[in-house]
Amino acid sequence: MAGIIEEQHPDRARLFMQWKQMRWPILVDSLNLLGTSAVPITLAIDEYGVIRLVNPKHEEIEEKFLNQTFEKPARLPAVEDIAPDLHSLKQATRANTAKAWETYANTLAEWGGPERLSEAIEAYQHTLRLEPEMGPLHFRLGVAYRKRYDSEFRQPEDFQKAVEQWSAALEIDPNQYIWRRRIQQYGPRLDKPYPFYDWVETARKEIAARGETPAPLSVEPAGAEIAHPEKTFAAAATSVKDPDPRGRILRDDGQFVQVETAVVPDTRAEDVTDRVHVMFRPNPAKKAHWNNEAGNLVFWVNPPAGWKVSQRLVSVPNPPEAVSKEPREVEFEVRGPEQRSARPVTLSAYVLYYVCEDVNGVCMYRRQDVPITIAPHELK
Amino acid sequence: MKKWIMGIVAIGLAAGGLTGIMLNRDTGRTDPLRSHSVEFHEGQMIPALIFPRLRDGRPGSVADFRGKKLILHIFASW
Repeated sequence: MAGIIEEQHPDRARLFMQWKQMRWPILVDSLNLLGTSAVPITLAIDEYGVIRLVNPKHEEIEEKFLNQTFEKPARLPAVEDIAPDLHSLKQATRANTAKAWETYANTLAEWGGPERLSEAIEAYQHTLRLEPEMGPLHFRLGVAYRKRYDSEFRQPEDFQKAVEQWSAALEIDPNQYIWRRRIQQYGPRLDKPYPFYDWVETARKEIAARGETPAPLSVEPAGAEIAHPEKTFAAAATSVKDPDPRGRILRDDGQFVQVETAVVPDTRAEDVTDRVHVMFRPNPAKKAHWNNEAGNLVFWVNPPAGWKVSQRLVSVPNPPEAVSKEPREVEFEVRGPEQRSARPVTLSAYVLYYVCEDVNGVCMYRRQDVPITIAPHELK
Repeated sequence: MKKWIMGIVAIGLAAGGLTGIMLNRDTGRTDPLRSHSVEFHEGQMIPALIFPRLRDGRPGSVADFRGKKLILHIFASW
C-alpha cells in the first residue's frame, strides 16, 4: 500500500496520517504533476507498473488482483534516474522549448528549495510566454508563489499572485476540481464545499490522548481554511462605530508595519462574494514590534454603496507576552451588488495598531489606510 | 497479509471520504483541447513521476514498488 497526496502543505498530510494511524509510504504531489482532477482515486497496480483496477470495490481486490497472475509487458519502460538534475535541465532550456522550460520549472519548484523559488517562478513565466493556455502551468506557478509566500523569501503580493494564477488555471479548465479546491480553501464561505482543515484541532487532541506528540505544522491553518460553509451571506450591522471617523490618528504609511492584502474570489460565475485577507507584519528594517500592553490591533472597513461586508470592525486580540513580532491577519468577506460593475472597485479600509521601534525605542499608536481592490468576477 | 491489505484499503477509502469525494463532473463548459486532466485506465502504465517522500523529503516514485503488487491511494487531507 502506498499513497500520493495532492497537497500544498505536506506537513498537514503528515499530521493527518499520524491521526489516522496510517503508516504506508506517501509521496507528495504539491504541483499536481499527476494531472488528476479529483480525489480520492485508488489504483491496483501490478508488479510491472500496469494499472489493473481503478477504484475497485473491496471484494474485487482479492479476486481480481491479489489472486491473479499478470503477464509481463513485452516492453517495459526503464526506470529513470531518480535524482533531479537541475544543472542538466537548465542546459536543456537552451532549446527554448516549452517542455524543457516546464520540466526545469517543475524541478526547481519541487527540489530547488525556498531559496530558488524565484527562479522557479521566472521559469514558469517564461514557459507561459511560450504556452499561455496551459492550465497546469498556471496552477503550478500559483503553487510556487504560495510556497514563496510561506517562506522567508516571501515577496509582496505573492499570495495574491498565487490566487490569480490558480484562477487563470481554473478559467482554462473549470472541471479541474483540485485547482478549484485550492482557491476555495482560501475563499468565501458561500463557495466552500466543506471546512478544509477543521479536523486539525481534533487530530491534535486525539494524538495527544494516545501519548504521542502531534506532528508540527509550518503554516497553521486558520480563517478561511477552517471556516464552515454558509448558505447565505451575513452582512455586518451598520450600527458599528467607526473608531477614527475623522482620520485624526497619525498615519504610519508602512514604515513600521507592512500591510498586504489578497482577495480570493468565489469560483462560481454566478456569485459575487470575495474573501479578503489582510496581513500585518512589523517591519524588520525598523526592528518594529507589537506593543501588547496597549490595545488590540483594530481593522475597519467601509464598503461603497450597494456593497456589504461580513464584518466592519475586526479586533485582533494581543498574545499574553508584552511584546511580539508575529504576523497578524484579518479576514472578512465582501459581497457586491447583483449587477456588478465590470470595473474594479476599491473598498476603503484602515488599521489601527500599537507598535514600537526597537527594544527601547519609541512606542506609538498609528493608523494605516488600506485600500482594497476588488476585481470584477470572471466567468468560469 | 491479504486481510491486512484489505484493512488498509478500507481505512484509506474512509480517509478519502473524510475529505469529500469530488466527482469529475463534466459541466460541458471545458474545451476538451484545453483540458490537461489525466484519467487512469486499466492496462495503462502508471506514470513513474518523481515526488518528495513525505517521511524524509527525498525523491521517491511509484516505480520504487516495481516487483510487488501495489494498492495506490491518491488523496488529500483537505
